[in-house]
Amino acid sequence: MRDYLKTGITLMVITIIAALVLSVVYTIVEEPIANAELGAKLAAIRNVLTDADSGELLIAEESIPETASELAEFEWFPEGFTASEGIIYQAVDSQGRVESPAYKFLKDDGSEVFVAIGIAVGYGGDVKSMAAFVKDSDGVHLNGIKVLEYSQETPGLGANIANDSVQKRFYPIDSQGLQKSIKVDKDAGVTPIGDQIDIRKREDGIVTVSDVMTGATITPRAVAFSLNAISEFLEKAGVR
Amino acid sequence: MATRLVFIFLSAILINNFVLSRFLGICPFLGVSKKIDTAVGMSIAVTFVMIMASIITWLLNILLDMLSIPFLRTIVFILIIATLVQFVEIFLKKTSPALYDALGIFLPLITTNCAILGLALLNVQQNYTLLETIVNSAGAGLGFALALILFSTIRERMELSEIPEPFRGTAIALITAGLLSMAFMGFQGLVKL
Amino acid sequence: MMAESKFSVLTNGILKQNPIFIQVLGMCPTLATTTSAENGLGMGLATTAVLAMSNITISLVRKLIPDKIRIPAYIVIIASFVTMIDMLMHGFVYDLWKTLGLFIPLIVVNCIILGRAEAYASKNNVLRSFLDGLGMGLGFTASLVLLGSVREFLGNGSIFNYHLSDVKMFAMILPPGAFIALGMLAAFFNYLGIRRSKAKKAAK
Repeated sequence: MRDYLKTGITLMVITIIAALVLSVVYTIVEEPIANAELGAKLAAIRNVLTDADSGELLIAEESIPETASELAEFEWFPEGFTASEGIIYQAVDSQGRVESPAYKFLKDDGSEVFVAIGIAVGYGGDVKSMAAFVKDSDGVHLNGIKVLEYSQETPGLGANIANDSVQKRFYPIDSQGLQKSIKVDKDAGVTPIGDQIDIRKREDGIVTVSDVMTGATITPRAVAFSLNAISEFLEKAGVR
Repeated sequence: MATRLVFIFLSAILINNFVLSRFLGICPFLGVSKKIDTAVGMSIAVTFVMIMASIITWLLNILLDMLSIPFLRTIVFILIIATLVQFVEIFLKKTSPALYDALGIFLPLITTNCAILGLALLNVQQNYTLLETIVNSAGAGLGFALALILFSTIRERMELSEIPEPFRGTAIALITAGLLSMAFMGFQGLVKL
Repeated sequence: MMAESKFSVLTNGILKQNPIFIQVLGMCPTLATTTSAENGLGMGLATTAVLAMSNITISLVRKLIPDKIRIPAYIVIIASFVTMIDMLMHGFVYDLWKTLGLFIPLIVVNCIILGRAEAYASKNNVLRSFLDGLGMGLGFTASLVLLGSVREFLGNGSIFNYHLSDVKMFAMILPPGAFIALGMLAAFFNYLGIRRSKAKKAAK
């Protein structure tokens, strides 16, 4: 009995020391981690606020936020939504959710750009994508996306979602495409090729990824779910 | 709800088999598969630890989040697993000394079986509910058992074959595992969410 | 009996007791992270860092840990280092951390680290343990880069993203390819070993 007690206590002591050391390291890295994450988020915002076709910034250069406080000025809380545990909206089919807060920017001509982060579960964990939806006279269309988080996807397969060339397959999508709900080509049952890739994407919301992400459907499907969640959120908020 | 559970279960056993698709649990897979008996014994032990560990770690994860110490997750999880394996060892020693001896060093090594820690982390990362966790763990254990037992039947037969010298042992085992993995790829798309 | 030279402790892990091909340890991360040479290199280096640090620490405290709980104790120490590396990379080398994101927790269950802690660090002084950890880590890294290069070349026609050929056998990047490629490499190394011992016998 005494033997067990002694070994149990020794193990506990080692664990406590380890926990203490880690707590110290944690407090040291807490700030750098927050800064790194913020930096990535701000870079992503700049990225999605770039017009998909013209390559120019949608809003004035000076308005692009560069600090957390500047970013906070663009926070957007539509009526009828309450954020809980960092999530402001859960998709109806429960496949995706929208992170809180969402952001709203104004273009020079007065039209609005909504930026939100959608999350859906991929192969090994959450896949997070930031997306910018532009509301102008033609309706609401998806301008750009940036996949932020994919660290649990399989390297060489699902993790290829990190490539810009793959992400470009997801945008821009016109309002009629959004209306039909975004689907990866495998789920839509068609495989567009050549010019059709861009046309089916814009008009029908069919995202062709099976040629650039062979053998890894779960990850791009998660991105599609997360974008649909944001699209649905905007609809419920009366934007679309 | 029920279909989702069925999907999770089938996914863990067949579609994303922990050993043949997710590469978790390879060390025991290669090390304990020479005889069918030890394979069966190991499978039962691992499945048991998987289910128990998943439930306990899932509950503890809530505590870790509440106390805002998520960075201790890995250490806590692996300690739970180590403790459970210790219990299994003691239990086996008393009830089935033959199996205990047969499993040898691989019994305590269940602790470092990446499949168990991997499963515990996956349950948490994929935001599974407790019920989904249990179903996923049962599936994972059965998937591990399936792969391990299938593999051991093949290896037992290979003992009687003429294998070129460089390939004997690990090499041919790996190539066989590759073929088995290829076969399991046929299950892709079996169930759609 | 003469103690091994420090140099041989270091090189032991690279060839004679190569963790992957000779000891058959650390299989899980080997198969999972060698989809390309670059991924193999990243994983190998991160593992080497943990190996070296955990060997040093365990060697330092080896006389203080009671025998009964040495395995769980080693595991706690190893898990702590992995968590530490994860946090430090997250905060200070964010882009690299993003790339290696999935690999880092996998290091915890790399049986090589526990294996060396048990077989060497618990019985030798700090300097030798460090060298042993470093050597095993380098051997592991070299093997990962080799396997990753083979899989990347056959599966994607490139090595370290440097395009070399247009032959693309996609199965090499998928799970079956991992098993088969590793099996073939193991057979090849076995073959070399057999030839060497035959030559030695003939020389006698």
